[in-house]
Amino acid sequence: MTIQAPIAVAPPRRSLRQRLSGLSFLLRSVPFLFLLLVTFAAVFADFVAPYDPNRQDLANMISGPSWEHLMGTDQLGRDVLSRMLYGGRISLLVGVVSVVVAMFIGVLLGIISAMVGGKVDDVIMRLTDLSLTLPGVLIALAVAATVGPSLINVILIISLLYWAQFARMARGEALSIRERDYVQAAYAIGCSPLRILRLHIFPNLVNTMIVLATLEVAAAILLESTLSFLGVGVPPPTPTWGIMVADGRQYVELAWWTVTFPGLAIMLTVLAVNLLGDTLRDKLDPKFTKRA
Amino acid sequence: MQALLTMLLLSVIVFGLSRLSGDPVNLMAPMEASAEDIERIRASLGLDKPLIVQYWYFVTNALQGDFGRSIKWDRSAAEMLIERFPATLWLSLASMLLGLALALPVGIYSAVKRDTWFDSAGKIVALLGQSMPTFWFGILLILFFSLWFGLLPTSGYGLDEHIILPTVTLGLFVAAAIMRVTRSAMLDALEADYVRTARAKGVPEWRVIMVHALKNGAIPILTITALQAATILRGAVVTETVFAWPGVGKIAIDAVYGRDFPLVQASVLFMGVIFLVVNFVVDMLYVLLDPRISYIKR
Repeated sequence: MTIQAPIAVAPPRRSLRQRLSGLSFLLRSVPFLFLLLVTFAAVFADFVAPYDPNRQDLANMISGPSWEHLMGTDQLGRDVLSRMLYGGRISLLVGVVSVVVAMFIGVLLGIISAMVGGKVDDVIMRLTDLSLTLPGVLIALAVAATVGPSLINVILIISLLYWAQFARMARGEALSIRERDYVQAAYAIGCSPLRILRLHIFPNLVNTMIVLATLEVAAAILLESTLSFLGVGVPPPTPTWGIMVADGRQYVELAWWTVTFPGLAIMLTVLAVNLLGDTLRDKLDPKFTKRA
Repeated sequence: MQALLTMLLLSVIVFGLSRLSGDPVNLMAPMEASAEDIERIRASLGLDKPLIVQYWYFVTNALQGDFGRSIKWDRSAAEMLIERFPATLWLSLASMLLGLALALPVGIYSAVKRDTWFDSAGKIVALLGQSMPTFWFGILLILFFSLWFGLLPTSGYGLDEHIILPTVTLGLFVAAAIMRVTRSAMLDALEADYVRTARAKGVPEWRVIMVHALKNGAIPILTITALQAATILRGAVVTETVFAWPGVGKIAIDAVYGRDFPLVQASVLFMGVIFLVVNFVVDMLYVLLDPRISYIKR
């Protein structure tokens, strides 16, 4: 009687053509290219934008899309396209910076929670519970009403609302990585906790955190635009997509373009970041279920 | 317990913010008030006491239903909020109903007809719905249905045609989230052994889907539905602003614009309480739906 070793059967490798074909390729590459474009336009807005975003031209107010003004002008004759390009700066800046800050706080606390354990763990987890039940927009409103809105405040508010997700995820991951055999072996031969953290836990956390961060950036951009729309975001004269929609709202019957284009910019950017997050999740982190 | 702690933290944040904003007396006192007048106002408001004592007053008053007075309207903030609360409640209920009415059938059918064009279309709509800013969608609805076609009023309050556009605005976002979860919960349930057993013993397919699978998929669906209470609350602030719907969210925003701090504080606390009550009710519902969950023993 022979014992047959289980044979791992590699899934048939799909040809390049199959992989490049159809919807899935589109879904993977278009968001990425779109985000590159948006980032480029935002960073180089000074060179790309056809007009000064705050230059008023009252002779030319609320004029529709034309060759001079591709997306028309708003109620003060400002060029909508130029304002949109500059507005992208705020959205991307706030979205990325606030999530990076949130990730930093969250991962730090999450790892401390997992490594130290005991009372510290209890306190940190209780804090994440609290932070997850706090009504975010309301707190942002209260802060804006009292301290006054500013770029830094918006970033701080969003990062203080979003750190808890990272802390939970980092703690869970760190706990499960710690139980793996090779980490236990490292403990057994006397590696210091810091060395284990640096060599084993941290590298294994990175992928999960990148995926989570991407999805949170999408949410952060949406929240930033909402705060801007409500007038408690980055204050004027800085153009932001949310403020542009709020400004255009009063004139929407006369000038649909002042509202439609910035809103589209928000939607497409958020959609692209979400799709990118899904792609990264499939590529980097098989632990997430693919279904949702 | 959790809820109480959250409430406590929220009250500290709100209280702390109100004191961070600088001296409220300087804002309230008229320009020509003398130093003694300002002192007198300060003493009459209890603002000359140490912070911790002020906080104690703030909390004990709040517990007795006194959330301070609106500076602008010179009325009890609690009264104003309670007066406006039905508007928010109706809007929330209507959007939740619309959301469920859209999401459940589409989500279930997507799971049953997995990987068909219907499923893909549903997925795309849900993704779009989750990526769209609420306020923008609301304004577009006004533009199309009120301004261009003149079918519905642009804004205002009433449980008639006025409530349609705000409900659609909020309801669609609720639907998008619930739909995705319903689909994946049903997919899980439809693959389970008890479904195969039910099919094998000849239970009609509609019964397999609507009874055997749906009952088991109910927990995640309920969870996301509860989480949508938060979305609705956040969305209500925005939607009420867009449609001039006179609810609690509109009060909060107007108070922010008017720098009416006591009213801002009161509305934030008020919505915090609603939020926590909803969470509490949902926790209780879990126990009813799933006997395996119990909060008594661990």
